[in-house]
Amino acid sequence: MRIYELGVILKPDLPEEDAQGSLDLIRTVLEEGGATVDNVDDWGKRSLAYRVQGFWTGHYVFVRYSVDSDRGLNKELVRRLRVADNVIKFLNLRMDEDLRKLAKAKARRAKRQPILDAKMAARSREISRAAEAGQHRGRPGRPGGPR
Amino acid sequence: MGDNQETRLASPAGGGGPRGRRHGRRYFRRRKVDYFSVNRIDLIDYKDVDMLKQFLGDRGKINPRRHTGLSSKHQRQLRRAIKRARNLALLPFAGMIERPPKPKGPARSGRRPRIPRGAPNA
Repeated sequence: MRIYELGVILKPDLPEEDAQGSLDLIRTVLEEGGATVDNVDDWGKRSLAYRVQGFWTGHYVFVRYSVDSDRGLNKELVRRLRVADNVIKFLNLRMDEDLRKLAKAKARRAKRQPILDAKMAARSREISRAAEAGQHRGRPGRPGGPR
Repeated sequence: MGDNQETRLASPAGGGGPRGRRHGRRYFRRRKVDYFSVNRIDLIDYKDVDMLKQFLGDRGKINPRRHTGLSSKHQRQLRRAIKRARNLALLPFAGMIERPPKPKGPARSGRRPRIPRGAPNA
């Protein structure tokens, strides 16, 4: 299973139905190629950082889709986007590896958090015990762990 | 984590060289922290433009590690994200300073205040 994210910039001066038509075209290309569209994030019009084909603003849309086997889908998609007049720029990225790494990092964090909490609790107990005994060794509140 | 930094700031022994001497007076350099570690960001998203912008100089160049204070890994991921964002015109390429659109032309939608050439961003 591969997950892709496609960023498309449409011309800003398109009528609503043309913009929608371009998006529908992308959707049909994807679905005919066996992909499922997971999410469509429409940012609306936004100013560009530099001029693209004479435009200073663009209509940004991000489409996330997943596909089991590519079979020329992306090639076809890129070809269609290149010839589409309403698309002034696009970027198609494969995201599944990044997302996998993200999930892994999240899991690691979730696993480590209870240990960190326990360490903190132990430390504060120790400090309060030392304070009760009236003997400070070292400064209180000084963390012992790395970083 | 927070109070750890303070103790490091207070103790002159901490760090590789946060001290300096200039004009006969001692000063302490602010300890740089890795933004992505501190905020626990595991994936640097190229679409988060405002976040990425803080790592760019005013000419659109990516700041070096000595400036950003990032770990090698995060700087690498940041570089990648910025380059992706540049590709989608979310961020400028180095040297391409934002100019106002010409009053005439195909792009008529967004009106922006006119910035006199050469005055800002210098």
